[in-house]
Amino acid sequence: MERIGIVGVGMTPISSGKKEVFYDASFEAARRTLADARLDQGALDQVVTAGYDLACGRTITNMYTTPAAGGYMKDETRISDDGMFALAQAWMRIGAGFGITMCLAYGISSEAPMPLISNLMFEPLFHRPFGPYSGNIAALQASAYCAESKAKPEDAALVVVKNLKQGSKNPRSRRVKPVTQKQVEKSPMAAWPLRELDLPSYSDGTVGLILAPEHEAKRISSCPIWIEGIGWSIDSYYLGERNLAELKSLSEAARRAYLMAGIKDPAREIQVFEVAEQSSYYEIMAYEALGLISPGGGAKLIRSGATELSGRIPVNPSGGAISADPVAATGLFRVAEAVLQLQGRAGKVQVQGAKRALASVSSGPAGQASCVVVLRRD
Amino acid sequence: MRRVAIIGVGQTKFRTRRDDATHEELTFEGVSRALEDAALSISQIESFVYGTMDPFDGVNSPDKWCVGGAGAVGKPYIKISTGGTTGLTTGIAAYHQVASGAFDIAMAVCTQRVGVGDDAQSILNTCVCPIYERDAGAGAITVGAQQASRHMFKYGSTDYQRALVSVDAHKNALNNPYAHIQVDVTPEDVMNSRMIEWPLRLLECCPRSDGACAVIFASEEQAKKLCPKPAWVWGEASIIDSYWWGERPDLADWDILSLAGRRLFKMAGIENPIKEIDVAELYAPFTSQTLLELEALGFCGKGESGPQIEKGVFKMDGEMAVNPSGGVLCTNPIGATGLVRLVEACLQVTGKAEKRQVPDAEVALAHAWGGTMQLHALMIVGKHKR
Repeated sequence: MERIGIVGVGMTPISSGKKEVFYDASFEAARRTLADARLDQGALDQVVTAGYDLACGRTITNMYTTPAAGGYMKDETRISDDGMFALAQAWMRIGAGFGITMCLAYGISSEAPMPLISNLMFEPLFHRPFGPYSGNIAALQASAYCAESKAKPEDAALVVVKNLKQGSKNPRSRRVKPVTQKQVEKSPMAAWPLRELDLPSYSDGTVGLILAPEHEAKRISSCPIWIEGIGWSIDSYYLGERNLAELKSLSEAARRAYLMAGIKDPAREIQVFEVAEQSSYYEIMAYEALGLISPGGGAKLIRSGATELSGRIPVNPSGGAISADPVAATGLFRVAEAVLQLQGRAGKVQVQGAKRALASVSSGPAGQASCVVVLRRD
Repeated sequence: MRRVAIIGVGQTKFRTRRDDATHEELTFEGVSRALEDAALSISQIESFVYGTMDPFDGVNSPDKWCVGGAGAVGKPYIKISTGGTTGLTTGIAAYHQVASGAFDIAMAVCTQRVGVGDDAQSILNTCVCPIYERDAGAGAITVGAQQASRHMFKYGSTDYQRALVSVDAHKNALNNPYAHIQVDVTPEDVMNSRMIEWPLRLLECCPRSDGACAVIFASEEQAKKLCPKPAWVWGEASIIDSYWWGERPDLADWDILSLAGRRLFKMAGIENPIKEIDVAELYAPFTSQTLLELEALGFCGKGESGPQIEKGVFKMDGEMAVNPSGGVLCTNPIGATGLVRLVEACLQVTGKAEKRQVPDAEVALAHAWGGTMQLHALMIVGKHKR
C-alpha cells in the first residue's frame, strides 16, 4: 500500500456545549481543516466521519455532518465510534483507491445526559438496571488494577495534576486550571475510587484531518505526517470474562501498530504519546499496555516524572481527555494534537524535536475496544 | 487496489420479532450461516465490520455487546452506521479492508431488532430537524409519498403500476424462505389495502423486521484457495445529497442516485445496464421507489418505468429480474437491509438462490438508500472476474 499522510488539521474550540448545532460545528472544523491544507472542498474525493447518534439526540447524524464536512455528492461512510476508527477505515479506503480524504469526528456531549447514553450501551435486561456507565465501570477497573499492582490513588492524582497542568496551557481544554495533588484527592467522589477529577471532562468539540496518498500528500504539504502503523482490536463485552486489571484491546492494537511500523522499543523510538485516557488510572495502565514499562510498573513511571512534558516519554502534552473529552472525537483530537507536535505547531505544549508520535483511544466499557496509530514525519 | 471476491453469505429468517434471541445471539446466527456457507472457521476471519442503526433497537452501540456473537473478540472490529444504507456501507467497508491489502479475509455483519424498539417511524422522525420538521411527523413514509405523488404528476405513473411492483415482490418473496412477509397478493388487494400516506397503501409499504446477515470478503488469492464459486466484486459507490430535501431539483427524479450509478457503472465497466445486468436488488421500501430507482439507474428511460413494469420487463423471467428476494417491500431489518441486498445478489450470481434463482444470472447489482432520500450505496457482483 502507498504511504498515506495527514496534510491538514482543523479543530473547533472545546466548549461546554449549547453554542453551536453539531453540524455547524462540523462545518467549522471542516473549514479550518481545508484552510490548513490550503485546499478547496472540491479537492476532496471522499468524506469519512465519526460520531454517535444517541449523543447528538438524532438518528443518522451523518445526514447533516457529511455534507457539512464537504461531502456533498461525494463518496461517504460514517463510523459510529471514536474518530480514530474512522481514521483506520479512511486509511484502508485510500489504500483501495480513494484520493484526498476528509476524516472528521463530531464529539457532542452537551445534547444528552452522557451517563444515561453510556448506560444504554449495556445489555438491557440483566446489566442495564444495575446502572453501569463509563464512570463506574472505570472505577471497577481502577480498583481491580490497584488490587493487582501497587498503584495508589496518589499515583492517579499525579496523572490528573500532570494532564491539567498541560491542559491549562492548551487552548483546546475544558478544565483550564492546574490543580494540586491535594485538590484532586479532595475533589468529590464520583465512583469509588475515582474522584470527579479522575474522570474525563465531557465536552463538545469537532476535529477534522485531511489524508492523502503519498503522491498527493507531498504536493499538498511541506510536512506531511505519515501513518506508519495502525492497529485496532476489541475485547469481550462481558466484564466477568475479562481481567479488568489489564487493557487487553489496547495492547493488542499497539502490537499491531508496532508490527506495521517496525517498532521494537516504543519508549525509545517514539517521542510523544497522546493517549485518550478513560480515567487517570487508565493512563497508568496504558503505560503498561503500550509497552512503555513492564506490567505493574505504571505507577512507578508516573512517579518518576518521565511522562511529564519535560520527561523522557511525554504522555498527553495536550492535557488528554481529563482536560477535554468530546466523546467520539477524543481519539481523533489526540491524533490531531500528535500531528501538531510532529509539525512543531503545538505552541506552549510543544515537545522539542519529536519525529515519531503515538495516539490511542479506547471506547466501550473499561477500554473494551481500542485503536492505536503511530505517526512520523520525514 | 486488489481484486476481491465474496466467498460466503448468510442470513437468518426475518420476522416481526425475535423474542427467542438476544441481539448477540442473532448476530451469532447470521455469522454462523456465512461461515457455514464459506466452509470457514471463525479463526480464519481476520477483521470484522459490524453495521446497525442503534436507535431502532434501543441500545447504544450494540456492536460492543455483540462482539462475542460475531466471534470478533481479540480481532479488529469497526462499527458502521450510515442510515438505511448501513447494510451496504458495512459490506463496502469490509470490501475496502480487503481491497486495500490490510486484510485477506474480512467479514461484514449486520443485525437489527426493530421489533424491540418503539415504532420505527417515530424513531425515524428523530432524524429530522427537531425545531422545524419533527412535529410535522416527517419520516420515511412521508418522503416516499412525496416522491410517489411527484412521479405521478410528472410522468403519469399510476396506482396500478405501483400495485404491480407490490404483486411481483410478494410473489418473489413466496420463493424466499428468509423473507419476512410471505403472502400472495393481487393488484386489487394492493389497491384496496388501507391508505397509509397518500398515494401509498399498506401493501405498498415495507414491514419492519428482526434478523441478521453476514458476508465474507476475501482477496483473489484466498478466494481461489477457499471457494470454488465466489462472487467477484466489480465495483462499489456511495454518495450523499444535501440533507434539505427542498433543495432537490425535482422529487420525481432521483438525480443523486443517477450520479452514483454512473460512477458505479464506470468502475464496473458497464455500458448498457439493462443488457449487462441480470439481477437488481433495489432498496425500495415503498413501491414508488422501485419506479424512481429503475429510471435513475438507467434501466429504462425517465417516465418509462411504469409502462415497462406493465410489460413485465422486470419480472423473474423478464429482461432483468428486480428483487427476486421479494425485496425490502417484504423484509426490512433497517440497518441490515442493505447487506441483505448484497447477500441475494451473491446468491444469484453463484447459482445458489434455489427456488428464486434467475436462470443464467451472471451480474447482479445491490442498492441501498438512506436518510432523507439522501444517501445511496451500490455494489455490483459478477459470476466471473472483471
